[in-house]
Amino acid sequence: MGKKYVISRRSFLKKSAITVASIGFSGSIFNFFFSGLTPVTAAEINNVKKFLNACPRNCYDTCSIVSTVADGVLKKVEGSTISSYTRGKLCAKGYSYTRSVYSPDRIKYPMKQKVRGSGNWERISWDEAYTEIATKILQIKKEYGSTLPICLNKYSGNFDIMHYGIEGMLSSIGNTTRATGTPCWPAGIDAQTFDFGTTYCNDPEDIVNAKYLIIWGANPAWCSVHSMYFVKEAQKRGCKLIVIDPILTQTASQADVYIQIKPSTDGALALGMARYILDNELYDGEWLAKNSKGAEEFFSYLQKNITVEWAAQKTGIPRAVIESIAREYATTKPANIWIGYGMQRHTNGGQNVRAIDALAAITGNIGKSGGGAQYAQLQTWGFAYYAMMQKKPENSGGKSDRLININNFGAEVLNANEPPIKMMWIACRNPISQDPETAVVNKAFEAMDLVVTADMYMNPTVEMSDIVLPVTTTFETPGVNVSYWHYWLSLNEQAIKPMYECKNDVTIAMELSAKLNELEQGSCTFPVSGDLEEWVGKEFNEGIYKQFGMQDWRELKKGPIKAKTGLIAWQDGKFKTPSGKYELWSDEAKKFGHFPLPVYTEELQPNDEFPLRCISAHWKLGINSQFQNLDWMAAINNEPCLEMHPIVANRFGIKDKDQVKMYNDIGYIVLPAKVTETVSPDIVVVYEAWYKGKKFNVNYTVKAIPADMGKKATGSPGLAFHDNFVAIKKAQ
Amino acid sequence: MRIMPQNHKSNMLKDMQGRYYIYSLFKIYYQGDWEEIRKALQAVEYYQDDNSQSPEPSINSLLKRLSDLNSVMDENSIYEYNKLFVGPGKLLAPPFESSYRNKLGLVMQEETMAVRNFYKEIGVEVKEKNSIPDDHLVLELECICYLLAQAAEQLEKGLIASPNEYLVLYKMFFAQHIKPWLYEHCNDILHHGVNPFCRGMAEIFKQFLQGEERQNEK
Repeated sequence: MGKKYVISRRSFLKKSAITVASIGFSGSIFNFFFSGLTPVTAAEINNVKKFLNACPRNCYDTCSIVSTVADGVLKKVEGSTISSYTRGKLCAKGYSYTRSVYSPDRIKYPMKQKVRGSGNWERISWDEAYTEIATKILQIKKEYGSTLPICLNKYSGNFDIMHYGIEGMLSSIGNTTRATGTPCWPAGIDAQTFDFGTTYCNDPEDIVNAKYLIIWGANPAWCSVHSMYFVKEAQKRGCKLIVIDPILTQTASQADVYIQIKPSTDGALALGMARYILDNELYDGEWLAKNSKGAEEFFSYLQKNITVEWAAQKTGIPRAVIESIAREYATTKPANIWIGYGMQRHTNGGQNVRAIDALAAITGNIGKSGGGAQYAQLQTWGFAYYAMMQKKPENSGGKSDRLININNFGAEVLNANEPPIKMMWIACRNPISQDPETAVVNKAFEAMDLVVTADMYMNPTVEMSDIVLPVTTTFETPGVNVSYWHYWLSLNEQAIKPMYECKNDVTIAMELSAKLNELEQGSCTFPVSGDLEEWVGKEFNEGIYKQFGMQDWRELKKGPIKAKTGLIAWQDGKFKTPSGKYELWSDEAKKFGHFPLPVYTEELQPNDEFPLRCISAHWKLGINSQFQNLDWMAAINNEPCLEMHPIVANRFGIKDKDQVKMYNDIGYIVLPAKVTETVSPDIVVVYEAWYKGKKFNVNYTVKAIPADMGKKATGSPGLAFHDNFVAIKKAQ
Repeated sequence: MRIMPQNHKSNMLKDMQGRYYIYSLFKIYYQGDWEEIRKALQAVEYYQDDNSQSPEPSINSLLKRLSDLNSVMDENSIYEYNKLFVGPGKLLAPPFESSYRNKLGLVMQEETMAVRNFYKEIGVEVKEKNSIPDDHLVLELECICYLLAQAAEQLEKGLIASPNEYLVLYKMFFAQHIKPWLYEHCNDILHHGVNPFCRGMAEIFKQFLQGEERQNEK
């Protein structure tokens, strides 16, 4: 035996190798070869570098970030100190980005699901993914004569300007169906568009100059934490802070006066205040005469239809309080109103915003430092949109894109015909979690031939997709970001290599274009190659350069830059309305079916069957369905709850922490009660969020009821998220 | 230079070969190319024929079980494998050392860097550095294969001191980067897994690691 070993020692090892190698696997110790590892070839320079990044989330703050990268690994993120808005700090969500990038749960590879919703996934190569997608696109185009059966649903998961290349990719294959509009703020945008000509606010850093500040239906302590510095600073300088909200929020807890209003009656309060201001001649007649259209008609409406007593009954706010804040607001200059997005998520939301705008106008608080009717700004968004503006291929069929309402997505997909919708491309969105009428949205997904979703994490939408494509985080790809609130412009540098096989959405578009053209020459116009940083450069134009005082976009590599002009909205008095004036009377509003004046539209009322209004406000540790799935956030709070006033709890025999079923005619959720006096007795509150691994989604109960406005500026009306009427009972 | 007795040397080589073989198999398994996995498991049978007199009976027994697993591999094995190790959902048994050892469960943290530093010490690095965590099990298994191959190469050349150096490095790597998490990883597979193939692989891997641990501690 010994002899055998001596003779065959090496030869047998090789023989084994030869035998097994013939069927594809050697396993011989003398045949080692490197595959994932490689010999070190160059001396390593273990350097630490700083990169500039920008938070691309759908958030007021759009923080300028400084990232520290050591040996190619993202080590730390912190707020930029150059930006006087970010001021060197991030919110809890921002600080979790290292968690987000290096979570083992990231989607790492393109994958294909055997049966939609089965959870049976196979890993596929990018080429296989592109081939399957491109083949389906071409097959649809051949069968239907156009690409209209292909529907894009993309919105705010990543607001980097280059991410509009996703829309560009769809344009580059032909006319397609587009989910149009926004779930967030459209009624308010329309309201401001009717009043001012567009939505445009003062630089939020200017809040420090306010002497009187009403935060009306916003909760910056949770949703715009950097703005709170300016609010606090204003208070230090003597500004009185009033917070109006149905919920005693963390922001409200820091106010001088908190006013708990009945939901959806904000317009009644504003009009009641306006009536008081009119009766007591506290309005700014000079400003109105010079800058407005329709003041007489508005005052006439107030005199005929509005009383402070009526406003008190409507809103639940004592008359004396209304009179007091009306007097203070009208006589303390400058006075600023921050109009939140919550109040416009009602069937009368747009009119409510118009009524509040009117308060700012009649008191002459428009166009002034420290003043304003602050809703949002789109002034710094005038990019070239190079990635988005793609030509459609010749003879691609269909006359134009088909627009469907993003806020009634499920039903509109199912109802689309001639041609029907057969394929969805989902990017920067999680419609199954975020859209109303979840069951209908699910049915729409079920009806598809192919659903492709590009995302970073598994979520309910990915679960209902056929192919998922892994996308990069903001740190793994270049981009450029601005805010819809502040006036800073931030370059987003690629700080680290993409993890695993993740790709930027524009890279995906380029590679899909290459595959489409390989299969059918001329079928896609999207460029098939290009350096992503060069793509970023192409997003800039002369207008942006002028606004930010730049010669070249690379100047942003030194740090974020603030706009040089336009920081006080409407300071020049040149409104963008048809009349060029602030329009209390808006013929444009009339064209869109609204009363031309800011009038009160009756709020929806609960009924006997569903007696409570459920408000699904934003949660502090997440933005829509982002962030809360991260373990860091889950570690702080991983349990949704139903907040209710003790009066409501007593009425329904519910105690704190009881499991409660909240339901209406379309769905239900079961969750523990949190009995608290911070919510008004007219409502229950469930914070909208997606908790990983939990069968919780408040939108099971939310109907696709449109808000009154939104069509003009965003293409579709808003969604009355907060007109959700429900019943509750203790769960068995 | 002292020449080793041939029988002892041969047995050592055969022993190393067996261990290398199993590590290689699991490396292929964790790479996730199912055609390669199938081929590798088919090859076990041939390997066994040629190595029926391996000095390590436990290796032979494990190889027999690996060979038998070929027959239970099916489509569901792939789906479960992906749920355990690949995604797109939350991984039920992440193939990353740091997922088990980092207090926040993150990859690319100090635990991953410790593996990177070990690689650096032995003159290797990850080809897709900073895209694939250095502590992905595939890379750790490749590192072990490299060390065992180096040890065998030195042994084959008849150098007494050199092979020990690589075997010492292997034992160090096993103690520092395999033992602290891989049992838990296998237990996660056995806890979450229902597919006989995936469970069988985990059971065999765990048993093999226990044998390695015992041998390393001798």
